[in-house]
Amino acid sequence: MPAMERMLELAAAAAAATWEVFLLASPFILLGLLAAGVLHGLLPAPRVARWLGQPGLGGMTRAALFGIPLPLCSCGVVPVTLELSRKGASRESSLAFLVSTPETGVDSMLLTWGLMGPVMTVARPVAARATSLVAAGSSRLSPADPPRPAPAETARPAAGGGDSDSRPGLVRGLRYGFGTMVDEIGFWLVVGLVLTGLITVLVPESAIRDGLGGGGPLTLVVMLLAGLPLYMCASASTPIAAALMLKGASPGAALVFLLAGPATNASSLVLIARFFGRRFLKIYLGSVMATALAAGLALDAAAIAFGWRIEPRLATAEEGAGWLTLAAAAALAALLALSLVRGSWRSALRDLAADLGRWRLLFGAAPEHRHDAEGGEAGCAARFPYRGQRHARRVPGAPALEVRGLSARYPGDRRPALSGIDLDAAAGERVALVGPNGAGKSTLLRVIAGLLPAASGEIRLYGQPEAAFHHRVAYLPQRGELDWRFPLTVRRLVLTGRYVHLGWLMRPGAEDAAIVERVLDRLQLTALAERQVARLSGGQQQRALLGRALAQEADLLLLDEPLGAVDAETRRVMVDVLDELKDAGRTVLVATHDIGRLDTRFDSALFLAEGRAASSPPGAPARAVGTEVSR
Amino acid sequence: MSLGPGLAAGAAAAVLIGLSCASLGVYVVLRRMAFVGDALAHAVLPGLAVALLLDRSPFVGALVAGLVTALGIGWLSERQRLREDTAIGVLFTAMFAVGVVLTAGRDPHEVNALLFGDLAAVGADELVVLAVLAVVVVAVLALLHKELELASFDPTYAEAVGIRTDRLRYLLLGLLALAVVSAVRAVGVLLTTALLVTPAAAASLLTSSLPRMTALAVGLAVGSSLAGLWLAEELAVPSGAAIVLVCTLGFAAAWLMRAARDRAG
Repeated sequence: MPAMERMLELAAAAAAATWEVFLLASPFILLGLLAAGVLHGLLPAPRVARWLGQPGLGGMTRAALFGIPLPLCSCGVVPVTLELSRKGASRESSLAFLVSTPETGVDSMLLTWGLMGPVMTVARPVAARATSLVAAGSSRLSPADPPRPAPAETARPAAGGGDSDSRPGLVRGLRYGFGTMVDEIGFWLVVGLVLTGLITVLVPESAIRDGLGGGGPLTLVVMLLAGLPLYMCASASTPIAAALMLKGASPGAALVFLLAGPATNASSLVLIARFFGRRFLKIYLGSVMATALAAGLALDAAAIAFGWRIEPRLATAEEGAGWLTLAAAAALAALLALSLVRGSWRSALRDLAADLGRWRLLFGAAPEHRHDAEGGEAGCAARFPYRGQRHARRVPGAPALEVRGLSARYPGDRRPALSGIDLDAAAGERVALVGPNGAGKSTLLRVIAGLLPAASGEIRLYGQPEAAFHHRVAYLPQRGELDWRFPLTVRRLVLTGRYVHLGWLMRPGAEDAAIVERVLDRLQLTALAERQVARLSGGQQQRALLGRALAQEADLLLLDEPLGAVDAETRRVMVDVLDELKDAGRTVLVATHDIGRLDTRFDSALFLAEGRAASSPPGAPARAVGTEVSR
Repeated sequence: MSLGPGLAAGAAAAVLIGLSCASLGVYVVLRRMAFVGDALAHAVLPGLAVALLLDRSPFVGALVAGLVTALGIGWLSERQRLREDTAIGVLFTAMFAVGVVLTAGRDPHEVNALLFGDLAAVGADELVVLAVLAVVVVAVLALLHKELELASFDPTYAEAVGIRTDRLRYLLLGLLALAVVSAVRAVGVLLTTALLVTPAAAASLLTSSLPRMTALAVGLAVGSSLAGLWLAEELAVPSGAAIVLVCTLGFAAAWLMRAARDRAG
């Protein structure tokens, strides 16, 4: 298999190149982490924020200048910026800080020194400062949007905001440098190094000089476009820029690449949009791009005029690494491995997902469909929900459930299982679906849950088409529909209720675990949490299923015969929970063949017989005591 | 226990095959797909035979035949004209018969290797393919663990939150084809089901947690592959049969442990 051999050969070469870059870079990265930790320990972010939080040009300049060495990546800078603005910094100062900080940090500056030499190490922060000042200055030109209150963005608290750690500054700082920092940049650093290896091997020598714009201004534009969508911290993008220079990109082009990436990450953009309005975003992006290009051109011109030699060190890697380098590489590898084991790759991917969502949010759909506007789901705005659909939020004032002229049939069955069903339920209402077996109660619940397509008619949930709202609808099947012998604990079963909020690839986090614990406690299942689901009584199984619906934090619950053959304790707990749900404004549909056995009040009832709404309750209506029957 | 240098590749192959088969086997057992796995293994024979006739890599032939059968089974089971096991029974015996016809007149040694496997003869290039197959199987299972678990336990709820369970089923069938193709190399067409089912079944007797069950199954499969390989060499018996027998011993031990535990508790 020659093609396979070639692939393997290339992979081996890329791995070797990645290893070489890693060897070269690791002493500088380690030094950078150390410096970052010391800086963090000696200068807690809130104090910095107080110091910078002064209005006027001075504050703005100081913010831009000070943000340069501050080791915060694009995610970490957001809470500090908010702190700044809360402490009274002007919008311009906040903006300058927000832009300049992630572009350079003491860690990436040391790495730049190691891989690209002194000129680049100076040029990078200078250009970063210029970009941030131009951006901040241009905000004065923008049409004045009404000032907004600082948004209550929930960012990861470890990222440098007010931490309540009481350890001495230096210890805390070192923990920050070799712990939190590694968690934040580790994954992308690895990605950056691998990309560098791939570029070194796959891109032909001087391809950029000969192919892409011949190293002139056009190359700079190409680099700008390449850097814009890149989600990478300053450290991770450094080796890539070095590899691009090795392939013929001019120093200016590399600088443009380094500036464009971090300045245009979506978390900053969202914050900017909130501070200054969405209109300003275009001005902002334009000014950042123009300044980055200008800085690149200036660096190229200066390099020619003064005869500066700016060469990536990747090319001059001497044979055989010294023991110090090897030790540094081993230490960094251990730090990275620890961080990856801790799950930093997961949060990195989650951030990436959130970032992609923010881009869509900024330039895509209308703002009122924003996912993060909804209570309880703030923070990382977008996820990859199943079916690829974005979760919509409620339309204010819309009824919880509107069913109009609904018909449905099972595949291969000619007779419709439902026809001409109308149903309304306001938020917080409890509705009974009553009828004998085979009347269509379960079918109606299944259609509302999206399990069976409607043949005709319409269903709207909180004013939205049902497909956009399935994360807020919990369907409780009858107990017999599940494989109870599956090796699954009660806790795990309840946890599956969180999946619809997580989507593909995302693992449940601490927040999800906390929700599950609360639910287990409420349903008196904590003692059974580690028990396999087959070893539960019928009532306990029913409670576990209700627990999943509660963990899902659904607004509309569809319960299919929830109280069929359960013990007295379960009945009591479930009736209590149903009342709490009602008090919390949740809407509940309960299918039952015997309304009299429910021990609970309903706001209304829909009587079904043979798939149609029946005008009078089948059986004895007098048994539906406490039921205000409207239809 | 020591393996000769010639057996090093065989041992590495045993580890890889145990890894992919047992981790997938957990789902095979829990979703009651043992018969599907058996059918897939038998249906791979004509692919192997054609590859042999054309002097191509047996992996390619087996992979094509396996994937075609997996898709066929998925397609048949979606249409409810026949019961699924009936449809599979018709399909795989036909495929196997085609394989028998195609291998007629070949060197009996060759045919024997197809039917019963020959782990000791695995070459370095095949090892690369086995490694790729194992990585694909394990990576997909790890990445989609929570969806596969939910869709196996409660497909209705999985559909309700937007997971397409039919696609997950096709994916599992595809992975099953990959695992079968690698297992066929070790234990042959006739004994592949044992590697898929026996370790997972033994593990299911001992734990009620899916991750622990997977770890146990993988451990048993890898351990018995290595032990079987060594025994085959010592006793001069076919390696495939030795591996399956050791595996079955592991299952018997698990059964006894479970019985003892049930009596005690």
